[in-house]
Amino acid sequence: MFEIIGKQNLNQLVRRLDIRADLLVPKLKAGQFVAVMPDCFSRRVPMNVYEVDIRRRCFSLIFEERDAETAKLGALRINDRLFAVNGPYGTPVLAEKVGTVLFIGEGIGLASIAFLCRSFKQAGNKVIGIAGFAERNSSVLENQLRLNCSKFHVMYKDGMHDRRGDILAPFKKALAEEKPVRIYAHATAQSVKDISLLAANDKVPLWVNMIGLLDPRPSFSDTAMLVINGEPYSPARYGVWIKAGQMDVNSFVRDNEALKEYAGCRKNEAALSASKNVWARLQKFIWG
Amino acid sequence: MGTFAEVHLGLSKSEAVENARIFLERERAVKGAGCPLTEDFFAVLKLLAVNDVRGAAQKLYASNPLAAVTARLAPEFFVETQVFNRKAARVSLRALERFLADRFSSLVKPDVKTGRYKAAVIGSGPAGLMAAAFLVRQGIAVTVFESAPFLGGSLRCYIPEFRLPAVVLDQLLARLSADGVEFRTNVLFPRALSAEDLFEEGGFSAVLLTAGAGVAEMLGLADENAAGVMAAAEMLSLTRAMHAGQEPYTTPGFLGNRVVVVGHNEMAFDAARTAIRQGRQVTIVVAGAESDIKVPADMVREAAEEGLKFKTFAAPVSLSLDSSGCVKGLVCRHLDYRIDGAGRLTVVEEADAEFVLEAETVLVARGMKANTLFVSEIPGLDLNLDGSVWVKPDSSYTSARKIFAAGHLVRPGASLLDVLLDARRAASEVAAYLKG
Repeated sequence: MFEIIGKQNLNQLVRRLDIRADLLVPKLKAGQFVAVMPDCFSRRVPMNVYEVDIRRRCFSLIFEERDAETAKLGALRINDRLFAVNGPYGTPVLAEKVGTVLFIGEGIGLASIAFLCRSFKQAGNKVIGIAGFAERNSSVLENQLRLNCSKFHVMYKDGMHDRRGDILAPFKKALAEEKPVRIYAHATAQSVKDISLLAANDKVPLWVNMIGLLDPRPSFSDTAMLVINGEPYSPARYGVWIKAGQMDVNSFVRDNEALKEYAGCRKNEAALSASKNVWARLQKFIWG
Repeated sequence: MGTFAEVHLGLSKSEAVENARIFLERERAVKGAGCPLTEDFFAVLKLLAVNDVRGAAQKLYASNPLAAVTARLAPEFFVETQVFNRKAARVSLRALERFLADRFSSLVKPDVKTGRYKAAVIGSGPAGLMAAAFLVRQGIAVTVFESAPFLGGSLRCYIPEFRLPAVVLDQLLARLSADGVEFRTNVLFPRALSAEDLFEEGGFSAVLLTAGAGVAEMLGLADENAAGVMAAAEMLSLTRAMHAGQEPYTTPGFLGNRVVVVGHNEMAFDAARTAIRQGRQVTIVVAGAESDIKVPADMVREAAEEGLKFKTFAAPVSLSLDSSGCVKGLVCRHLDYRIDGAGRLTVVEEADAEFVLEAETVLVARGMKANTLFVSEIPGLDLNLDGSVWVKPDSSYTSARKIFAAGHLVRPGASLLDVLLDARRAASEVAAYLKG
C-alpha cells in the first residue's frame, strides 16, 4: 500500500509523486485532499490532490520541498512506500456546466487548480486560467494548464517574455471581458485578499483554497476545527475550498500569516536539528 | 518532574497477594458497588490470595480484557470502606487489577475461535477494542478499521504516557491480535471504504461504529483561530501520538512558555500536567472554587504538587493577540457566588472585573462531542440533536440496517466504565444478530 510508482522533478524544488492506493483512488474526487506521512517520524501533512488515475490505481501529489516532511517526500524513489496516506478529506467540488469559470493561482497552488480545471473543462465549461510565478525557473504545470484552458495567461514577476507583473492585471481584464460565473483561487494570502475585493465588486462567487491555514499547524488532525464566522468548521469533513462570502478574508490573511510565524518561532529547535540530523543520515544512507 | 514515566508504581507479587488477603479479611465490612466490568472481583481476589496468579488473571481476563486500562484510568471501587495494609497504605483494588492485567500476556493463553460470520468494528479506541475482544470470543471474525496511522484511539491520543504507557497499550493490542482480531489502519470509514463496500465486497455481515468523541468543543470566542489557541485534545494528540518536540520525530514543539488551560475536566488536567512536564508554567482556569472541580481528588492533588497553578472563580471572555495575530493572553472575568431568587447558590460574573492571564498558548478543554464527522454520511443513519448517533433505547441498534453503534459515539459524556460496558453489550447484540 502507498507505493510510489512514478516520480518527476518539475523544477529545482517541485516534485510530482504518483502513489498507489487501491482503496483510496476510486473515491478521490476533484477538490479533495489527503494527509500524508512520509515515515513514522513525520508529522501529518495535508496536501491537495493533483490528479487521479483510476486505471493505474494511483493518485498524484505535487509539492515544493520546503520543510522536513516535503524534503523526505522529495527524497523518496520509485518503489518506496509512504508510511501513511489518509483520506479522502473534504467535499468534492462538483464540476457542473455553468458557463465560464476562472481559475487563478500562484506557484505551487496551481497543482490544486489543475485538477479542477480538467474537471470543469470536461463538464463543458469555458475555462480561463491565470498563473503567476516568481520567475520563469519556478514555473510548473504551464503546459498542462494550457491544454485544459480555453484561454490561459501566465505572469512572471521577473518579467520574462514581456509578462512582467502579478496576476491581478490579467485577472481584472478577464473579469471585465470574460464575465466568469465562478472563480477558484489558490494564491498567496495577500493576493487572495486583492482577488476577493475585485470579485466582490463584480459580484462573482469566489472559492478560495485555504489549505494554507492547515499546513503550518504542527500536524494535521481529522477532528481539528477552525472557526469561520464564529461557527466551527471541519476542514477534514467539508474541505479546503471555501466560498469567500463564508469567511472573513481579512481574518484568513491575518491567521495565515500568524500561523506561519507561530510555526516558525515555536518550532522546537531540538526537533529541528534532530530532523536535519535524521535527514543527513538518510541522505548518506541512500547516496553513500 | 520532567519525566513521562508512570506516576503510580505497580505492586510486586508478594504485595499483591498480601493485599488480596487483607481485603478478603474485611470482605463483610466492605460496602459499595464493585467494578461493573468484573463480574465477581471477590472470586478473583480469592484466587490471588492463595497465590493462584494464573487463575486470577484468567478469571479477570474473561470479564475485562481491558483491565490494564481500567486499572489505570477508572475510579477506585468499593470506596465506602478503606482497607489498609501493614504499612498503613490503602489497599487499592485497581492496583490489584493492574498487577494481574500487566501479566495477561504471560498468564492467559490465546483462545482463537473461528466462525463463518464477519463483523467490522470502526474505531480502535476503548469501545472498539472491548467489542472486538468479546466478538472474537464468540467465534466471529473481527476486523477493526482505524482511520489514523496508529491504533488505540483516545487511549493513544488523549491519555498521557504517565497515566497509560504506550507499552501497556501495545501489549493490549498484541494480546487482541493473538486472540484473532485483525487490525487495519489508514482506512477512513465511510469515505475510503463504505458500508456497502464492507457488506458487498468485504463479506462483512455487520458493522459496529465506535468512532468515539474526538471533536473538541471550543469556547466560541472571537479570534479562536489565532495561532497559539488549540483544543486540549489536539495538544495531547500532538504530544502523545505525534511525539511533538521529541527526537527524532519532526512534529515541532508548539507550546509557549506560559500555558493557560480553560476547563477543569480530566482532559484539562492531563493537558496541564503534560505541559508542566515539558517545562511550561501552566495555569488552569476554573469557573468556581477548587472544590467544584469534578475530577478525582488525587488528580488535583498530584497536579498541584507538580506545580499547576489554579485561577479560581474566573471565566474566559476574549483572547488577547499581539500585532502578528498570535495569542498573548486570555482575558477573563472574575466570578463570585450569589444567591439567586430561588435561594440557590450560583456563580455569576462580576461586572467590570476583567483581568488578563498572559500566555503564549491557550488550551481549551470544554468537552468532547461525538465524532460523527464522517459516519453521518452513512445512508439511513440518524443522529441525535447533539450530533451523536441515535440508537434504540438500551441497545446498540442504529436506524441503518446491519449497523450498530456504541461508546462515546452514542453517549459523548459517558465515563470510561460506561463506554466499556456499552461496548460489551453491543458485542453481544451483534453476535446475537449474526447468529440469528
